[in-house]
Amino acid sequence: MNCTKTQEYLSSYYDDLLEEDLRSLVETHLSTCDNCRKDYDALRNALSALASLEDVKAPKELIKEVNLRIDRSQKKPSLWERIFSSRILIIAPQVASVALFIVMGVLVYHMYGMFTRLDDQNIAPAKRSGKISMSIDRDLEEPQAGESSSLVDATRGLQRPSGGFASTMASRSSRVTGKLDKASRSKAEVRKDDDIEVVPCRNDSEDMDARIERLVTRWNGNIVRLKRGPEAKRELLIRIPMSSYPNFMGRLKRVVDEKEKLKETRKAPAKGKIRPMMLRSMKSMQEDASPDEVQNVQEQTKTEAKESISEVKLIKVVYE
Amino acid sequence: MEDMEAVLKNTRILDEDTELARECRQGSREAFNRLVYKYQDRIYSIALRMMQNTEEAKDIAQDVFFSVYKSIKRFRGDSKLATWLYRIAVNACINKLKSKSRKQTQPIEETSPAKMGEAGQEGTTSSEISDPHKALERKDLGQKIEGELAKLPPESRIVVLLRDVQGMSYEEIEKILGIPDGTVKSRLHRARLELKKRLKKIL
Repeated sequence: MNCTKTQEYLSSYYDDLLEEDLRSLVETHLSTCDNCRKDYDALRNALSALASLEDVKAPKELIKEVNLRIDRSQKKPSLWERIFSSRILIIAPQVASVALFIVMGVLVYHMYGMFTRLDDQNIAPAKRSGKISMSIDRDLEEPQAGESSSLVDATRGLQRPSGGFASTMASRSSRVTGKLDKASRSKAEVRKDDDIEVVPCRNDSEDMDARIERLVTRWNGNIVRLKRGPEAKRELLIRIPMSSYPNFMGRLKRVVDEKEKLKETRKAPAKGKIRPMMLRSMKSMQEDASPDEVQNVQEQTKTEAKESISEVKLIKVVYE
Repeated sequence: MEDMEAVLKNTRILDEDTELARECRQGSREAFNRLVYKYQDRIYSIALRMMQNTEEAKDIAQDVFFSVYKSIKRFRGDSKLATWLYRIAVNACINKLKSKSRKQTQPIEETSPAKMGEAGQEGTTSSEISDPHKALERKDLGQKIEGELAKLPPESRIVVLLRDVQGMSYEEIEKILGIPDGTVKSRLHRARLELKKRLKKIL
C-alpha cells in the first residue's frame, strides 16, 4: 500500500472501521513510512483534542424560559387576545372607513337640511325690525315710467300674452293691483326679495293658478293682488298666517317644482299667440275689475298689509 | 469487560430515556424538566458551535425544547431520545443558517463558544473549576480548537461535532442528518483532514 491510499484510509482506520486485511495493510505502511505515521499522529492528536472539548453550559434561564413559553402557549387566550389575533382586525379598517363614510353622509345631509330651514326663517327678524313694512310700502307704490298695470294693458286690448286666470284670483282674493317687477328667474328657487319670499314659477297655466289658490285657501291665506309687468310677467302676492307659513311654503315649492318639471316636457307656445284659456281668463278679469275697483283694492291692501304685517307672511310667486 | 460496561451503560441510558419519554408523553412537566436539564448543555453546545452566536444558540435551544414538549406524543421510540433531540436541534440550526445566508445580513456579534468562558458562567466546564491554571491552559487550547472548528463549512462542521465532539455512532449521525452512510464517511474524512492540517500548528 502506498502513501496516497494510506491517507485515504486514515480516518476509517482511526474509527476502527476497516476490515481486518485492509487494517493490516495500513498498519504495515504506517510502521514503515514516517511521513504517514506523523500524519496519523497529527490526526489522532487533533481528534483527541476535539474529543476533549466539553459541552458549553447552557444559560441558567433556559429551562425557566422554556417553561414560561409552554405556560403561555397553554394559557387560554383572553377575549381581547382572541379579538386581536382574529381576522376582525384585518377587516376592521375597511369596516371603520365605511362606517365613517356613512356617518359623514348622514351628518352632511342633516346639516344641509338645517341650513335650508334657517335660510327660510331668516325673514322673521327682519319683519320685527320693520324692514318689511318699508318694502311693502315700496312694493305697493304706483307703477313707474315704462311699467304699466296689467289691468290697464288688458283693457287696451291684450297686447301682450300673459298668463293665468287672473279674474278668478282677483274675485277670490278681492285684490287686484298692478306693479311690474323685473324679476328674471331662470331656476325654480325661493329667494328673499326685500323680506318677501319670492318663489319663481315658470309655468303660468291656469291649472297652476288654481292649484296655488287651493293651497292658499287651505292654509288660511289669501291672494293679496295680481300684478303684471311689461314683459307680461305676472306676480301673485300671497298673504299667509305665520303659523301656516312653513307648511304652506313646503307645499308651494313642491307644486312649483312639480309643475316646472312637467312643463319641460311640454312644447312651448308660439310667440305672440295667446292660448284660449289665457284669453278667457284675461277677459274675465277685464270684466270683473274696473279701474275704480282696482284703486279701492290697492288702498285696502295697503292698509291691511301694514296692519297685519307682524302676523302674516308675504310670498310672491313670480311667473316667468 | 470494558465493552460489557459500555453496553450496560448504554442500556441504562436507553432505559432512562425511554422512561423519561414515556413520562413526558403522559404530560408530566417534572419529567420534561428532567429531560431539559439532562440535554440542555449538549443541545446548547451544538447550537452555539454551529451558530457562533450565544443569543441565536439560546433561541434555538429554547425552540428545540419547546418543540419537544409539543411533539413528544409523536415520538414513538424507534430511535434513541438523544438522536431525536439532536435531529430537531441540527435541523433548527441548518434552517437558521439558511435563512441567515438568504438575508445576507451582517452578524450581530460573533462569539465563539470558547470565548463564552470569559464572559461568565456560560462556557465554563466542571473541570475548569478545580484547577484554575490548568483551566486557563485548557481554555486557551480549547479556544484555538473551537476557532479552527468554526472555520469549517457548516455541513462538515456538524459531522465532526456529532462524531468527534459528541461521540455519536455513524448510524446515529445518518439518522440525525438524514444522509447515507457513505456521505457521512466522506464528509467526515474531508473535515478531519482539514482540521488535522489546521490543528497541527497549535497542538
